[in-house]
Amino acid sequence: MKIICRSMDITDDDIKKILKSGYNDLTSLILRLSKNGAMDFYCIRNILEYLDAEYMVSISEISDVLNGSDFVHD
Amino acid sequence: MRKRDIIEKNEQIVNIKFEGKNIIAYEGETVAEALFANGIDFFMLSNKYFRPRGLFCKDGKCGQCKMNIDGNRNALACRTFVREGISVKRNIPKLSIKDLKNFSFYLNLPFFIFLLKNLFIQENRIQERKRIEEYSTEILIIGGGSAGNSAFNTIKKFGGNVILVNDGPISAESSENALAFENMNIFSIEGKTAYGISEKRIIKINANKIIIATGSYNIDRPFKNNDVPGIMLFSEVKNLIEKNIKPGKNAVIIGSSGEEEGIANFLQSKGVKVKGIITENLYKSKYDLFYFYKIEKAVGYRKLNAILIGKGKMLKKINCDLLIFTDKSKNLDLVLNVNGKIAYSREKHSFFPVRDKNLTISKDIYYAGNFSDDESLKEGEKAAILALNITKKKNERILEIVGVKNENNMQIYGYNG
Repeated sequence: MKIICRSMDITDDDIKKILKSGYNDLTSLILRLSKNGAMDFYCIRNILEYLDAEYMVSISEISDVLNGSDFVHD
Repeated sequence: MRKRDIIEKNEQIVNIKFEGKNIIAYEGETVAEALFANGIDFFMLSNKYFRPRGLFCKDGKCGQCKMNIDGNRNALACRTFVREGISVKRNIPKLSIKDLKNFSFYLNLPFFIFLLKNLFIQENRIQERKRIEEYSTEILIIGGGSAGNSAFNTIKKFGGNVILVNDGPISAESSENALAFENMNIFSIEGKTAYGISEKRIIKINANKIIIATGSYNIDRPFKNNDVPGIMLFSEVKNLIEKNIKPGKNAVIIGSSGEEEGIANFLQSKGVKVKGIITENLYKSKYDLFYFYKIEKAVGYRKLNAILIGKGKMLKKINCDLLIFTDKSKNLDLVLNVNGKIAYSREKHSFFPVRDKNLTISKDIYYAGNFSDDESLKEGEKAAILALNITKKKNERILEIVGVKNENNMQIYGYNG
């Protein structure tokens, strides 16, 4: 088990599971991962870092998610 | 001496209770430091998978040291200073039927028994009422690292009205027009009003200009079991050593920030044996170098025992009780808070603030700081000069003081331009 987000216990398995079931964009993926609690910028950063390393997500997608991050809250 | 003290300490002894047992702490320590110095590695169980977690970041950001301190269930042990007689307990996670079906929950059987024993104990939650204080200043600096200190000293030198706020200790000295608040965390900026919180109080600061100099923080890497206690960011390791607490006996360093060899020298000088450096950056080193190796997994459950590293088909096991991350990323929460833009660099594995040549990220809000101390010092100074320049147009008093005292400096930095 690789922990991607410590405070919410999000693991690589959680992300893989959601990716397998299909997702439309990064924002919806992150919203699905954060459905049970607040997600801070550190979690989002780690998720994006992981996705980029493992799946080579495009930089513009990452920028869009961060700069439109209305769902970032504590 | 306690289990992990490097030297005999002279500070005032403070007695605290951990799970009902008396342990020794010293004045000025946080609860987390005191527990770790006494040989306590794991502080809480994670909420979803019930995994033991311990010291990791020291900055109150990772949330891995949330403990029950005097009845407050979500107190961060790394941000709470010891006081005589306080009671510290591990948190009890909220349980559901789904959790009980989770296999990993049962891996930690001794703690499961502890949970059952404590499940029905009524907690007395103590919520201290915090005082709210309000301040006004011309320039507010958030962050007391190289860039923040440099900006503060520059503004102070020119007689500007400034407040510096840092979430840790501050080395800069306050004066009549220059106030410095330490151990105060700015959690929000609305317009040009910042809100900060510390253990005892809440402050509201109204400013004409804000310089964000929140620096960078170490980041971890994903691999199997990357959350075992004993795996820490360098920021935490450095903090422990500065408090004369030994973070571990045998360490492995992983990162490509360029500081790895210096960090290894620092650790060796404090009696921590460096078993190797895993990096994509160094080519030569007096330490065992694992160039372009990846960590396959960490071995251990409540405490790190070893790591398995690999490169192609080669696998190696390194016995260690401390793994240190040295990679860095910028601290950009407040940049997003003021609607600043962020860009991502795949090469540096980091996000950066998007700013113009005047270091502004949005109107009257500057961002100063870089990965190296030298560059951060220069940027702090530059941001201070730029902020003062604009402020002095609106404020004759500052204009006079700056003009009389520092004419040469003004010309060097283009004050008149």
